[in-house]
Amino acid sequence: MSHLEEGVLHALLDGEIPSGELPPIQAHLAGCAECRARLEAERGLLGEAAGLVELLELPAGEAVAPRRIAARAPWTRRLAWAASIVAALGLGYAGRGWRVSDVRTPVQALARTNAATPQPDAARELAKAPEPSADLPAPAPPAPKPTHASRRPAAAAPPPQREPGNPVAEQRQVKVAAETRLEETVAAANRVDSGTARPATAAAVGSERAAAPALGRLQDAGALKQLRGASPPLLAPAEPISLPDAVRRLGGSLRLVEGLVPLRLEAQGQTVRVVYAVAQGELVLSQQLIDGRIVAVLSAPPGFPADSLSKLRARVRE
Amino acid sequence: MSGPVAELFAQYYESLVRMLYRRTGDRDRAEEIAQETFARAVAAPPRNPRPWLFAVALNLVREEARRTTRRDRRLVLYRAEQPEHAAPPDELLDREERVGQVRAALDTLNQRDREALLLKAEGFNYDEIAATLGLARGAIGTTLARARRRLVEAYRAGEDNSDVAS
Repeated sequence: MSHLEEGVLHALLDGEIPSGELPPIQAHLAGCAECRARLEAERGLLGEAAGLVELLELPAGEAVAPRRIAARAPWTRRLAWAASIVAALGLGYAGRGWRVSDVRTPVQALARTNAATPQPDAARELAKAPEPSADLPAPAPPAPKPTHASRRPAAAAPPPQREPGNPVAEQRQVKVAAETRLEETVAAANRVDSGTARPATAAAVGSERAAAPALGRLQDAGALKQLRGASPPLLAPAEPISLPDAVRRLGGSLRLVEGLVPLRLEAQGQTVRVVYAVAQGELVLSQQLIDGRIVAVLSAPPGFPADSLSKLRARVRE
Repeated sequence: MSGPVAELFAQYYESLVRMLYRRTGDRDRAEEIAQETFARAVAAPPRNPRPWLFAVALNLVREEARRTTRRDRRLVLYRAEQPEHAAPPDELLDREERVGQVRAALDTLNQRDREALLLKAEGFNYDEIAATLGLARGAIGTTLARARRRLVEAYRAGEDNSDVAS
């Protein structure tokens, strides 16, 4: 009699044997004491290994400001996004405040710059017809479920997606919902600024090549191309705004990237955009007051190094 | 963030950071890689999101590993996992020691086995693990069996050594 392979035993314990293949396996187990004993031994091993992995709990970090909200953003829009995500959302970064009263030389320089800088030709970009996004992702798949009871020892950190109302998951929802509204504005603004059809994502450039093998397996290249060509929704053009007005619009403070001198300040609807000049084009810190807190997104032009963008994210200050 | 990517973020960010933390030993770096991963999703929302997100994230980890020395990573691990307070109680020391032993045991696995194990810990099924790592589905059971066995054996060996040393 040939016994069940180790991989089959683990697949059985993980609940991963297709139903059609179960009967012969079960029949074998019924008649083979050795395989039954091995199955129990592997069950113990599986549980012990799972317990060890779960000892590696995520240490507490500063990442997300806890805040409760009522609803998550719906899966409604189909857009090609240009912005990179910044870790500045509601984070408790220490830093000097920049209040309405702090009107110094940079304000005057900004005022002069605002007056002198020509606005991009928004009408030309906004007039482009949006391309159909034929192959967009379906709604997210169901949350993962444990496949074996023995992998839940007492010390396990509960995965948030399995527990409705979990405060950690809700914290993420805060971040997500607040960003949703702002992201649309940023994407449209980047399309206007860059004047190109290609999304301006620093993180994507260069590193996309590295991610290509995984992408290639999981995505249709034609669909990806269509997504990149899709246009954002129509938005009002950006207009220059003074520093005091910007600060007032954001409830009394303004986030800036420490160490960089702003090229200009703009307002676009409810969003304030702080624009910096970099070698590859313009870096934009878009921010908006949402539910009483500033939500900020840092977007970079194509070719901007991902490492630099990460460092700049960490330098966003009030 | 867009509606679709916002959904992905809400559903997978925490899990991604946790897996990356277990993979790298550095919470800050795990967050950075997760952020970069979602930035790519913003640029090109994936059709099969969870395997895509985790595959991209693991690729980023591997790229970084190729660029930095193993010694540097160990220093990062040390800094990330050292408490910042004075003289922790014995039970905390004991737990830290165990965490260190688990991490050392995890390091003895080859990359594929280690990643399969960490993905399984995030609730991935075999199809998803196969899609994320580019393996045949039929190989996942064997991969996990080997990974689990090596992890437990390495951990036990580490425990035995520390018992001898203490």
